[in-house]
Amino acid sequence: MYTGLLGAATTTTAAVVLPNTSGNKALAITAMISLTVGAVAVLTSAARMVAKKAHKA
Amino acid sequence: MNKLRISLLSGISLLAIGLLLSANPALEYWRSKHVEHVSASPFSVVASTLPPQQQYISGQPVRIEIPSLKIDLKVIDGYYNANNKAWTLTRDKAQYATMTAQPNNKDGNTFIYAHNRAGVFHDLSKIKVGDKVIITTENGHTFTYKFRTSQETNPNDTTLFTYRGAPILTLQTCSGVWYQNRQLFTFDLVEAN
Repeated sequence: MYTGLLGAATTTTAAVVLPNTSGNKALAITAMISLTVGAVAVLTSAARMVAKKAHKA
Repeated sequence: MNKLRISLLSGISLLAIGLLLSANPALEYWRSKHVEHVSASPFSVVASTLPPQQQYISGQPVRIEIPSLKIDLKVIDGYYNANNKAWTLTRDKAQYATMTAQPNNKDGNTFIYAHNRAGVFHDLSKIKVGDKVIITTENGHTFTYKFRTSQETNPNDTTLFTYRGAPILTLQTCSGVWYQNRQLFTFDLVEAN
């Protein structure tokens, strides 16, 4: 607890962390999921297309 | 159109959506990197530049104004819960950490934090050296601070709580693409009425 004047100040800081003042976390999570799912979809689709073409040839 | 093409187009669309959604936080993070930073802690003791005052004045902060950023917010008390390591936090107000010094004309660090959201502290990264912050207290005093420096740190950096010295104000909001860091803005007291 802070008590005021110089020299008399005592602050309890044991195990204190700074506040989590994040912005729109839902947006960040949506972006991360979109990127991950999108990347997986693109890679698997591309691989399957290549495999299909190779099979036809 | 076959299933493979639909799957490919869906994937590309999702990638585009993901990139669009993450563009803004990434841009904000880039912008915050261009605020004047310090490598050393801004919480080392500094001598007061205020003229010696006869009377000690202080008060509970109830309002914060940053005219250059058009920020004008109500300030409420913010408390730390040691059990879950979390601070009380609202979506539309600033919080004064009650474990730190109240605004005063003698010493200590007044710590105020708020979300990195539009209408709160989202625009703090645009602040420039010399910009003023005015804190009004419930007993009618006003404290004017001038922006000195900004520092990006991790959530476990508690040096601001151990500061002793001339009166300063620290504002905090989160930074980083995924809001994983803490951006601290340090201000020096220039006027107290």
